[in-house]
Amino acid sequence: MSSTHSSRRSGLLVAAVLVLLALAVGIACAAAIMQLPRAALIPGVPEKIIEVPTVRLQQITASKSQANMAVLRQTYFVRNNVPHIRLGADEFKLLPLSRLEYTPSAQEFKASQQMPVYLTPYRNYVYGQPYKIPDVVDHRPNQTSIKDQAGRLTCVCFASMAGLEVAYGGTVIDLSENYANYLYMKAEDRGCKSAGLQTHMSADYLSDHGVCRETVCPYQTSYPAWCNNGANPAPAKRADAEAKRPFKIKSYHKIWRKDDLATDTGAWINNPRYLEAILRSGKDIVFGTYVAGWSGDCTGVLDVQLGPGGNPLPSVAGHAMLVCGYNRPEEYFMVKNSWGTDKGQDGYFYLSYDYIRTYAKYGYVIDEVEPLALVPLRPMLRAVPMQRSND
Amino acid sequence: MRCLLPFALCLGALAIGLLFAETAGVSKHTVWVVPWDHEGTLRVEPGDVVEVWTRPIPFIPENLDVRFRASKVGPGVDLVGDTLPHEEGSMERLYFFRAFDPGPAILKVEQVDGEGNVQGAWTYQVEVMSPHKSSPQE
Repeated sequence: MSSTHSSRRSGLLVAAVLVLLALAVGIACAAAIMQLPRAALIPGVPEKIIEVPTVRLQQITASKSQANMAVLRQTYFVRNNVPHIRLGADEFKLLPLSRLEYTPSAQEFKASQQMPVYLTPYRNYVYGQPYKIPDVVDHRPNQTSIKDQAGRLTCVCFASMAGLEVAYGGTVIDLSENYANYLYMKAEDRGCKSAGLQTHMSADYLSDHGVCRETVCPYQTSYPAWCNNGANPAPAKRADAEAKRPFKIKSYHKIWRKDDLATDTGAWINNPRYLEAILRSGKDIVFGTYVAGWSGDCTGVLDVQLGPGGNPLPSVAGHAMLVCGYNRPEEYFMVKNSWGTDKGQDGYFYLSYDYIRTYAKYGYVIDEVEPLALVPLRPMLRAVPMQRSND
Repeated sequence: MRCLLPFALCLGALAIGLLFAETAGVSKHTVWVVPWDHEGTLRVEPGDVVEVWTRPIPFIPENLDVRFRASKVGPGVDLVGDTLPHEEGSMERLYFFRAFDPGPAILKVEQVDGEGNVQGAWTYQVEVMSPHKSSPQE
C-alpha cells in the first residue's frame, strides 16, 4: 500500500518536472521568436531591393550554434521566401543559397557513395585494391574544339557545355555557353554581370532545362550579354532559343570532396583512383577546383606549391573545367579549359594527382542525356523535283 | 521511477541553460554585409562584424597575378580574417572586420598586381557607436 503511494508521489513529481520542462522550452521558443528582426521600413524612405553579394547563410544555419543562430536572426529577415538584409535605410535582397557556402547533406554524401552500375568493375580499385587499369586514358579526341571565355565569369558554362557536348557523343555538337549562362543566372535570380557559380549546380539546372546550339545563341565576349533582367535579349530571340533547346541531362551523379582523406580510397573528387575509374568507363568529369600557384601560360603540369610555412599555397579563386584524361605513370590529369588554345597544351591543362588531392572541390558525371527527337527530312530531300516535273 | 527523476531534472536544467544562452548578450552581434560599391557610413556596435566583399573580377589569364589586400585605420576596428566565396569563376574575396571600441574607422580594400602595384582601392567609413545608440545608416 505504501509502495503504491510512494510511486504515485514520484509520478506526480515527474509530471510536475515535465510540465516545468515544457514551460521552459516554450519560453525559449517565445524568446527566440521575439528576437526575429522586424522588416518594418523607415518612414519616408522608399523600399530598395538590389542584388548584393551575400554571406554564408547556409553555413551559419548548418552549424546549429545558438550564438550563430542569434546572429542569423539579427542579420536577416525573409520576405517572399527570399532572404533580405537591412543596410541602413536600404533593404538588400540576398542571393540564393547556392552561392553561399555549400555543405552537402548527409544524404547527399551517402548518395554519392553509391557508384553507378557502369563503375562496378572498378569498385575495388576505387577503394584501394589492385586492379589492372590502363596507364593512360585520353578523351581529348572526343571533345569539341577549345573555346575562350574572354573576360567573363563564365567558366562553369564552358565546363558544363563541354561535358554535355561530349555526353552527346559528337565532336560537332556545339552548344551555347551564352544560353547556359542566361539559364543559370535566371535559375538563381541573378543579373548577367553577376559573379560565378558553384559548378555542381549546373547539373541541376541542365537536368531541369535544356540548352540550344551555339548557332542559335552565339557567345558574347563582352557586355551587354543575355540577361535574365532588362531588355536583353529581345523577346523574339529569347523565344527562338527557348524553342530550340533539346540538349538536356537525363541523369547525373555528383561527386563531393572528403577533407580528411588519408589515402586514395572512396568515391570522392579528391581520390585520383575514382577519377581514373570514371574516365576508364568512358565518361568525363565536370569539376570545380580551388586555384593556387598558377602562372604564365600554364604549359607544364600544375602541381601543389608550398608557401613559407610549408603548407600548400592558399587558394586565390575557383575555376571550373572538364577532366577528360589521365596519365598514371606521370601522375597527371588532362583537363579541358576555356582559355583558348594559347594557354596550357593547346588549351588543355595538366593537373597533378597531388593537385587534385589538395584542391579539387566537387564535380559531377553526366550518366545519361535526353535523347534527341528524330529530325524530319527537309522538304528539299523529298520528291519535290518530281512534283515540279509533274506540273 | 526514481531513476527518471534525476534525468528529468537534468533535462530541465538543460532547457533553462539553453534559454539563458539564447538570451545572453554575447549572441546578439550583427554581421554587416557590405557590397564592394557601397557608399555611406556604416554605423555599428562593438562586437559587430563588417563583412566586406571585393569587386568580382573574372578568373582569366589576364588576372592570374591579381590579388586583394585589406587594411584599416582607427583603433576600434580590427581585420580578423578573410576567405573566398564558395563558387567558381570569380576572384572576389571577403574580408571580416570586427568592431571593438566606439569611434570612427576606415576600412580599405586594394586590388594589386603581381608586383604589388595598386590597381584599384575602395574605402568604407565606419562609425562604431556606443551599444544600443546606433541610428540608421547614412
